[in-house]
Amino acid sequence: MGTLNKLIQNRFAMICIIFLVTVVLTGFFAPWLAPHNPVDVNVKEKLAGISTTYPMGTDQLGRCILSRLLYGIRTTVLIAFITMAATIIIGTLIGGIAGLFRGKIDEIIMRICDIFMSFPSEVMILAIIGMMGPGITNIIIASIIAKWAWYTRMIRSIVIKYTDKNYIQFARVSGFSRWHIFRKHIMPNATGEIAVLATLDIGSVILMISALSFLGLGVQAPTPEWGMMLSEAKNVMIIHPGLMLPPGIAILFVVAAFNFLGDSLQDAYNVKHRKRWR
Amino acid sequence: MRKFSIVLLAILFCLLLVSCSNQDNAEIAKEEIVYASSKDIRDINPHLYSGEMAAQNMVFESLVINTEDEVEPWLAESWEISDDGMEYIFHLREDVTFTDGEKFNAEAVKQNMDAILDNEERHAWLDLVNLIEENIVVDEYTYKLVLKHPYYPTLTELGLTRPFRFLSPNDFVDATTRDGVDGYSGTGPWILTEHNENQEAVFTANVEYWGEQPEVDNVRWKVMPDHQTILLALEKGEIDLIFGSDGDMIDLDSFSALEEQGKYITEMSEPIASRAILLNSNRPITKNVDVREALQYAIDKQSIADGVLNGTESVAPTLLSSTAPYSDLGLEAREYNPDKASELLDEAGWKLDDSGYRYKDEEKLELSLYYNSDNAQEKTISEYIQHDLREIGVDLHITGEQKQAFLDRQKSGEFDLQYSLSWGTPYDPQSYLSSWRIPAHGDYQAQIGLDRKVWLDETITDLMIENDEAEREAMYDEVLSYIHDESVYIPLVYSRTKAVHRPELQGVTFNVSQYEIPFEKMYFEAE
Repeated sequence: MGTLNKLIQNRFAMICIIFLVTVVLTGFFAPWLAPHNPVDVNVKEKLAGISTTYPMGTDQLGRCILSRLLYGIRTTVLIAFITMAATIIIGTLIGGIAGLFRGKIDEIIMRICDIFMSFPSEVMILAIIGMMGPGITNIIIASIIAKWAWYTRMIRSIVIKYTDKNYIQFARVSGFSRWHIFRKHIMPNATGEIAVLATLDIGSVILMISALSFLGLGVQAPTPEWGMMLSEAKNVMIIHPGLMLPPGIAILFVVAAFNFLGDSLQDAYNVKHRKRWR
Repeated sequence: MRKFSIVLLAILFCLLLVSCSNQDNAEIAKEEIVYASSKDIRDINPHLYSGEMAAQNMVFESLVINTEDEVEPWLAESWEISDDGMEYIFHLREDVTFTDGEKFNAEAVKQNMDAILDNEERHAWLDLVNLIEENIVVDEYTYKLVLKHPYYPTLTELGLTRPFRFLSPNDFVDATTRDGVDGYSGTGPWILTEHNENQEAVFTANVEYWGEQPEVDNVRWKVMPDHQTILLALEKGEIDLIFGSDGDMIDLDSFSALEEQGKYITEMSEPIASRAILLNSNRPITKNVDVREALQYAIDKQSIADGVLNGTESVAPTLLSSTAPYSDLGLEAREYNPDKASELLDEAGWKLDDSGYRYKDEEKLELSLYYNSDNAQEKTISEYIQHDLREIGVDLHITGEQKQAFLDRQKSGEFDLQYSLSWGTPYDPQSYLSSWRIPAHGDYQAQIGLDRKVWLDETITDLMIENDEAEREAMYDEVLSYIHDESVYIPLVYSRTKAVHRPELQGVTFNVSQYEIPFEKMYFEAE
């Protein structure tokens, strides 16, 4: 319980959590909150400024920017969560196997991870997208392929750290199966650390999705997405610079909030860390 | 100590920034036009297709040139055509030399022609190449071209930007040009003097030029892949001119904003080419002519022209503008009429569902449109079309692809809808129609589902060599009416070439071809 208290005491972390929860809820209730349909085109009103009908103005096709921003939460955050969840599940499974069984299986898995980790993830993602074509499903698959190796490795080392603990040794001597030990004794301890890993990284996943959509390789029109909105705003950067602000600021705040939260979580969990800095 | 070094570092950094700011701004004498393009000039070998056409046009010249009214003499002073239309005798100018000192004469013309014919396959899209029987040097300044059949667009095709342009025979490799050349010595008003790939190219005025001398000394062709960078460079005064067609260099929102701002001069050519959407007749859903026709009525072209394109382009009622030769056929324009579109789809068996989309035998009315993601305009237009089609219950998926993937898709025919831009004058209609017969073109792929595709190709082949004017007119009528009735194209608008330049730069005009830039006529106003 100590860790949770630490987290609650940390004001900054709480602000981040409240902010992120608000963002997710806003995304969830976007259909009720958004003043317009985000894909409704109205070229007569294109590139309009701020008004009561369009609180943040309109884009190059006369679509309401506020509505697109709100609906964009769904796309961006949902994809980020799916990607993260899938990566963590794969990483936990494979990393768990490697950490528990050690020996040859571990060797093989780790060498495969080495191969995957020897390429920069951006290069790998671009190559996969190049082969499979752009689209939401494909960027999720591509980023899972690019990231699973790193998570496998991290989770393996977490698992190994615990397998050396006395109580685990004791459980093993008592004749419990490996699966039982993993489930009952290792996972409850490891979950916290894995959560830290995931929160730390979700910001970078959001950035990556936005970057790919910015390049036109990710989410396809007309689905509203922040990276794509930014890219559309870039095309009129000089004449309407203000158009870049809403999606840009949205990405900045959400990614920053996730990063700060990840840091605070790490502080709360990592004893060594805590001792050194406080 | 540490503080001191930080301050020192900060000062040094500021100095660095100062030295970065454009120091050469002041020294740009008004003797150089700086032009920014999103593309490099690449290999400007005039007999191949990889180079940038505007650059090829600066260095190399043709026997004749296309103007608004007719074909006019250029390197050939005059010509005679035999009565049967099979022999063309050209009398060449006697005062022309290549920039490497080589004389331009009938021998050089023949060597160039032979080099082009040596690579016949590559030029197959151009009928003239297939029809040349022989080419003969009559005397030093007389050259004769003999055709297999009479071919009416011969002179027009000889005046195209490529491939019938002349390179000094000294630059040939093994007497041919198909595998690359040794240099780029042409007869044109400009000489390519410097080329750093993907950075810039410098063209210097040819002082020995036989015709009117260019007004300025240099043209500096800077490569800036991003449209916004080009605009920024214009604002900063780094470049003098933006020139291009079809959203390649500047998007229309920026163009209109600059126009209103009034700081720069914006110019537009006459409508030149047709912007259209190809409907693939060889795909499960668009195979049905009623569906294709319904889509014609579903798109609000007027709003695309006025809204998306800011009224800078005019709505296209038919694929080819009625001002193009042989194209004034009085075909019925299909105006925006969503009710009629819905009616046609209902008749074709696509029924509206509660979800707002149409279904037929459990299958959803889903179509795909691919566009070139490098193009500033196509994405916006695609999204607009997507919106229009949703109104009548059609689910259109749009996908932006890199240019090469986009072109490969044209060749493979794996698309329901696809962008098609005609090449404009002087290519329309003959070369454009001619290209419909080449499998590597999206047009061909989209047409193979038609019942009479074989007839269509044969008629196009026949009409090119038809010598009787009235007969030819009738054949064009048949071909264009058939394509119109089959609704293979949704004509959107007629595009224009656009230019933005600094007010000091004068003489910015447009050539007949949208791919050429007449730098030689531009000059700076004395201050």
